[in-house]
Amino acid sequence: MEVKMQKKPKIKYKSTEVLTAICFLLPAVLIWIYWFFIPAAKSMRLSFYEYSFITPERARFVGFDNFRRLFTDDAFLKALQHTFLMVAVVVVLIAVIAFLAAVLLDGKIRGKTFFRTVYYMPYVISSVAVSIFFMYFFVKDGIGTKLFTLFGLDNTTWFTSPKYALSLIIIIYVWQQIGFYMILYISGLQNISAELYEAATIDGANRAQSIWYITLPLVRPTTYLVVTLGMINAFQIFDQIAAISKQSPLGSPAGATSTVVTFLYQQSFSYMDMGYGSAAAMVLLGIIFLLSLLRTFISREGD
Amino acid sequence: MKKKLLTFLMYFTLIVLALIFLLPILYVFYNALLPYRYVQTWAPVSVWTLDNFKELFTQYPILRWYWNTFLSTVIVVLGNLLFPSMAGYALAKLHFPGKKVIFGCLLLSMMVPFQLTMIQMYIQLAKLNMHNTIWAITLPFLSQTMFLFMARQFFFAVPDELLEAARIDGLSHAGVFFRIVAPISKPLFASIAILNFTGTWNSYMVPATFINKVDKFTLVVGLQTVNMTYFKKTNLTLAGVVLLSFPVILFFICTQKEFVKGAMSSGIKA
Repeated sequence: MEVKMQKKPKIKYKSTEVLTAICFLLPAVLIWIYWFFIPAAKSMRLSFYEYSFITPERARFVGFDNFRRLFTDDAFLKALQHTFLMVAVVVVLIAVIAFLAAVLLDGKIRGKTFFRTVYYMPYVISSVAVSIFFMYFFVKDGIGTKLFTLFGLDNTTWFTSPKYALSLIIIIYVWQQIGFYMILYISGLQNISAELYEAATIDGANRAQSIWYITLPLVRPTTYLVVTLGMINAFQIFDQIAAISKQSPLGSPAGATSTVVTFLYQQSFSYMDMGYGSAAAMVLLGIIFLLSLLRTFISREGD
Repeated sequence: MKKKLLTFLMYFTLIVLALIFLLPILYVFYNALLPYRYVQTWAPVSVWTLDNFKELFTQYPILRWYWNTFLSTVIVVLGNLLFPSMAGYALAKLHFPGKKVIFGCLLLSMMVPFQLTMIQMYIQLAKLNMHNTIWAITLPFLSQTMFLFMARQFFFAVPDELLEAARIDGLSHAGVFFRIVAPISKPLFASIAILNFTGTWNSYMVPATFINKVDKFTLVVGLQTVNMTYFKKTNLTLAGVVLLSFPVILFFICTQKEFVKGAMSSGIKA
């Protein structure tokens, strides 16, 4: 008789339960497969082809050519630069301001609901709408422009100025997104037990010190989420750029606001060079993936 | 004394922030009510007018756009209230093989930038002849992974004893979900509803790319058209912004209490 080595007790699954699970998962999974997995896989495959939607018969396999072309394409490299700059600034601004707002609202404040609603309100407005009215603020002699001239900036229309257009996008985006990430932080702050603060106050710490030594370390999981999510979202910024470009090609003025996303969008839907556009999207995916890995490493070390 | 100063500073910052967020919105509403000559000035109440709105309604198929936007948003929200929550429940509370694999795949898919998928999605829709229809902006979005995660996270917090008691009473698994768990999951559904409603109503990139027949536009796409043509006419464009944002803001104000509760309790945690 053989002696079977049993590592784990075999889990018995009840058939009714598994059946229900399948039924419950089916719609979501089918949608995921048909509208995400298959298109994503095909897009990845497409990046190795030269393909145009209007002339599908002329598609041909070109291997890594698209990628080689990308990295010698000045427009793409410029877009890459802008993307990195934009994402870095946006993520830092959002993480800091959202955290501050959440901390402020965490204490005993009157009118908490009012403030929370107001801070979140920009998030429910369409990014196109937000871009439009910020464009008005930052026209020549506009309110926003005048405010910044106090800091020594030129009095010019921001969205047509190659110097300021990208900053405008950053302002628009951050203004709109703070509310969302603030809610994430508020949720994270809830989990920090009040007793810790009490103990600290008894030991003589003031508000600032409590925040520095207690809040910041304990809120790290939320910061991690905010930075990850914020980064993934910032890489995909599109609406605002499209809005301020109006009728000109994306990334106006003169490519000052071009990003990897606008680049791939233009290649795919304006120039119909979908293979090339897919390759650019693959590069974007690669970047996001690498950065996520990097961050996972960093946070592991930190523990 | 020092404490008073600190408190004052706190309220001061809070109010300044509130103004930064509120003033632009008020500015929009204000200018939308002004005739062109008075734009960006202090105009007396007597010149306030609804003419801007009237003009937009006559020049553009606004009602058509409202309907397109409303219909597509309702369809998508209904889908996302049902499908992701069912799937999230299965992942959180039911026992079956392959849970980890499924969850892992979903997690990875969150990292993929949408624009990568978008290209093939468009080709797929065109092959089905669905581009330029309402299906193009609804079908692919009936179940979104983010809400699946939220649902799963939320259902973890539901006590197992509750489910077991219901099972002992003879309810099927499906019954437990629909009769017992769903009614107590209002914060989750409110969160999904708000996030999904605003997200879909306001979405620009997808409707703009997948639809190019003017009468099938959504409000946002239509607004951008107005912006492109009439940018100089601040009052008109801003009236368009009001038309676009007004329903969402209203919806938000009505449901925000449940939403904040949902955001806290479902703990959109890492």
